[in-house]
Amino acid sequence: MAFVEFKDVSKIYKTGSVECRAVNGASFEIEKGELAVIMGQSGAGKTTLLNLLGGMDKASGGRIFLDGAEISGYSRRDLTRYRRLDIGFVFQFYNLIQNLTALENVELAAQICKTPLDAKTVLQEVGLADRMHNFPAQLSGGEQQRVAIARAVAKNPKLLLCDEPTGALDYKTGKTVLALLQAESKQNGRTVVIITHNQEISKVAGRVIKIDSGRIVGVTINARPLDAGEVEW
Amino acid sequence: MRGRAYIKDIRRTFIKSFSRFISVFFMAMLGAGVYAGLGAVSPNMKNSVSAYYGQQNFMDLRILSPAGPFTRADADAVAALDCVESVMASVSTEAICAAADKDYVARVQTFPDEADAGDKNYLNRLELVEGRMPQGSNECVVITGSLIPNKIHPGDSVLVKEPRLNKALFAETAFTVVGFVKTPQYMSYMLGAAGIGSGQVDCVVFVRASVFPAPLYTELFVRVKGAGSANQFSKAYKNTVAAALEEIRTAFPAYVVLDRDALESHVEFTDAANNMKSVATVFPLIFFLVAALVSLTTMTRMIDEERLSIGAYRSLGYGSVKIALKYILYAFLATIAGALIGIGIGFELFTRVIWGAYGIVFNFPALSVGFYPGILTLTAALMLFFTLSATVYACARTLRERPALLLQPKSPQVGRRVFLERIKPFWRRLPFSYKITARNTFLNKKRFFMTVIGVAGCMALLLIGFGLKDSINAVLMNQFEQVFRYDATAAVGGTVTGGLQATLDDASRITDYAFVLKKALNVENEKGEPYDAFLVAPKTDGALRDFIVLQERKSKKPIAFGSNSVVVTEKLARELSLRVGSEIRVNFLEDAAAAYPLTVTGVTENYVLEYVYVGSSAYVAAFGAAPEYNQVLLKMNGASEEQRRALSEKLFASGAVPSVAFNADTVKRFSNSFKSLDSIVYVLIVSAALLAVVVLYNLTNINIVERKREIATLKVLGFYARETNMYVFRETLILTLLGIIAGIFLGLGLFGFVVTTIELKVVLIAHIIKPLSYVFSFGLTAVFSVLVALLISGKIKGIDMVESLKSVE
Ligand SMILES: Nc1ncnc2c1ncn2[C@@H]1O[C@H](COP(=O)(O)OP(=O)(O)O)[C@@H](O)[C@H]1O
Ligand SMILES: [Mg+2]
Repeated sequence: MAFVEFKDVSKIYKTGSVECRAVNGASFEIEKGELAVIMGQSGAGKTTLLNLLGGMDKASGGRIFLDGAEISGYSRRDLTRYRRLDIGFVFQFYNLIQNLTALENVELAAQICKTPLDAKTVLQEVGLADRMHNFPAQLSGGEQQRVAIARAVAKNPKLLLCDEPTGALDYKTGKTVLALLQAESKQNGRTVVIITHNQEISKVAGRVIKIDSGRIVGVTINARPLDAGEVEW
Repeated sequence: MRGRAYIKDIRRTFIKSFSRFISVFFMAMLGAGVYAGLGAVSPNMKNSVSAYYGQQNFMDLRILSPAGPFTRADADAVAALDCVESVMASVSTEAICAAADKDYVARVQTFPDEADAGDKNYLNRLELVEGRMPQGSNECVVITGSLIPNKIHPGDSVLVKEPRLNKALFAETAFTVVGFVKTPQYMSYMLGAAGIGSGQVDCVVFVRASVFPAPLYTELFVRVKGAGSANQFSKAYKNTVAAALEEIRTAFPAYVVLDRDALESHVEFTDAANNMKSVATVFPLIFFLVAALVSLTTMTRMIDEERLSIGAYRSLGYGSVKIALKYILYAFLATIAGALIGIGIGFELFTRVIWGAYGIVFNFPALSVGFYPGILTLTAALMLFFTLSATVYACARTLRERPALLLQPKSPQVGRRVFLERIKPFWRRLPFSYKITARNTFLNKKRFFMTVIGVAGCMALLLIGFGLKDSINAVLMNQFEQVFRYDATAAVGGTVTGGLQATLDDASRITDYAFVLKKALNVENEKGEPYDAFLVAPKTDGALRDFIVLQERKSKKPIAFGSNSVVVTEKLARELSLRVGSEIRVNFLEDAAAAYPLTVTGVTENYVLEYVYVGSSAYVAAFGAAPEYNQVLLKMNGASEEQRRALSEKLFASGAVPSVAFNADTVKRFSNSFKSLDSIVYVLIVSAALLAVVVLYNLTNINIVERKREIATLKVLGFYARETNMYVFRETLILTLLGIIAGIFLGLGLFGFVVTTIELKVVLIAHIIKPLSYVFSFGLTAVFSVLVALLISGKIKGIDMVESLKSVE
């Protein structure tokens, strides 16, 4: 069994009498240590997919497995525990806590885990050794996203999920962030899932899962992914 | 530009933020209700009583004649004056009367025989409460004070035993009680001082004029021309009466002319009504302040949330005023609706509760609750002023920004370090979650102060409420357990007979006794300011301190009492600015003209009524003769109800003791009248609860809405529900604690003021708040905030991670 497995998963949103199938019978796999990209246009259902995998939302149908455990059967509390111990999340808009310094933001996440990494070391690794004591508002967008990555990584999760991590960043900073995520997979062997609507970014991934209108329309294995430094967009 | 879209948008805004509307509404309701409600109490009280005075044709002036009784001709001469509307000549005398179970100090007073309701010369009209009016001259109607509730019944007989004036004065000395009455002359259940017996009038017995056959009168009651038409508590009334008083004094220099201010029940009532007025000005301030802060925070938050829509309007070319109008209208409607409903409820509620409370001390007429457009307008205007200025302020701040900037989301509040972080060793040891709390707590100053003030207000109200109860209860305990060490007072005849002495020595229950002279007197300081008190002169100077503790209240330092001592009680000293060495002059009721000088040698702790304790030599030096002892103070071993009854029967049997008053009975009767204050305490507690809940709910709610993203992030990070709740509530908790601490100071400050204003004329209320009251106040405040936390935790649970994280709002 693969590290991550989706089996005929669907998610239906109901708004009043209107039904929206955000994810429709999705099945795919991701191997351990892989850098996978989920790609599709805006509204395709990428975020929904990631939320299901991240335990933030419950599937309407189908089964989801991570590392042999069935996430789709979890209770609310199980899901919280799952997010707490197994998942690191990087958001498009960083979602740092404004009132905490960079270091404290990382510590906040680390303190609730069983086997966290050292917050300072992780911040050093993302290149923010000398900005540790700054508040988010004093950091640039790229720096904030790096803090967010550090926060997710410090939890030492089984799975690092990133929703459009470069979406709010300019080209150059975006590349740095991408490089960090790639390194996390390549050097530290962590399974990383990145969402993007950008074709070019998918070139760094070992596996590209294409989604359109809630359906998986293709999975490509990339035998020789590019280095983050080499991609252009 | 009065597009339908604009109107539609306004309607949407109202519907969308209904809960916000409610919170501004509630705050306005609470603030306005308390302000207007308490404000209306005093005018309602005065208006009701004023109408009653008018209806019962209550006297404006009372004329006494030290030279001897009035004749019919004297009365007619007064009536002939221009300023006089009508005159009623009447007889009243103090007497010891046997009725029902024992002897009472009574005032026997006449009312007109042929009285009909329309007679303008029938003053101080009696209103029948129960039974019927007397028909024969051997019938009577009575008013009983709070001293003997429910002891005298219709059908009982009243026997005049010891008239103070010549017994031949009375044509009849035995009467049957045929009914109960009330009259403005005795509106208080405390019927006043007496020159005989225990020194307090227990009941007033009204008999027909024919009971006193001689055509002589002890007093004239006067109604002044023009005084009846004005409100009886107005300046106009006072001026009219003062002018008439001067005119009568000038016309008849030998008479003593007194206005209503010489009437105990009137003074007591006026004090009570005025006290309510001062209470009504302090408490609402807390509510107003908090209401303004709540509105400010709520409206600021609303405008922040609507930032994008404001930006859109601006870029479409809408003017600032038109945009602001939407929010001003919103705040206006919420405030005016809340204020009007609050005022409506407040006008009724507070007056009824407080009138009911005072009804235990006063024999009140029916209450008429008035409508006060002045108070209504002022309250609504103040409330609107606060809310609308808050709204305009919040609008102006946002509208000043360039439209382009408005179309971007507001940059989040920048994190800041707090002063605590400078204390490195402390900060390092602080658990991580508390560090976050510390930062969050101090991040938003407005919210910080609002919560602290709101909670402090709650704590202060509770503390004042409970403290009032403590202090009032302490009055009795202090007076009758700490100051008075004796158990009973027996009245004795002018001379101490051997028979009495033998009875006292013989009675096994009596462990000790002391003869004293006790007499009501009027004390004046060097400036001529008067105050009522009792003179107490012991037969044996050295024995007094065994019966009455003389000491300084604060230091507990004993005060020596010897033959040259003149010790006055604390409140008397305070009211007349007396200290050791001060000269006072005293005179007695029966001869107001003769004044006797005394020099104060000490000021002693005391709580109920005022006393001047005079040593034997000082007495002789001042009054020129040795005192005639009229009372004996008794100490008993065992003073149960039965033992008291047995003793009084034994003393009566000796023939030398006409009446006995036990301190235990006095305590019971006082505590009854103090129960009236309980409901005021409950009003305070309920207001406090509302205040705390509204403020905390509103704040925590805003807090959560503002931090939706943050809370959603925590949920994604895997915080358990309890951890997420605590992340928010720890802040509320700390603010609540700070509020409680601030509330203790606020409460203590206001408490002193409140106690001083509600202090009745005859009691000194010690400022006491028992530890248990602190615990209760603290506990209740804590319960209120937990209650709010529970209400709010549902909202936290409802925050959807998926929704909140999608994009910056
Ligand atoms: N909470 C929700 N309620 C209703 N519809 C939703 C909700 N979340 C997403 N959708 C709908 O599901 C579809 C997929 O959305 P999403 O997963 O956010 O797409 P993507 O991230 O690929 O842009 C969209 O059509 C969107 O409108
Ligand atoms: Mg998306």
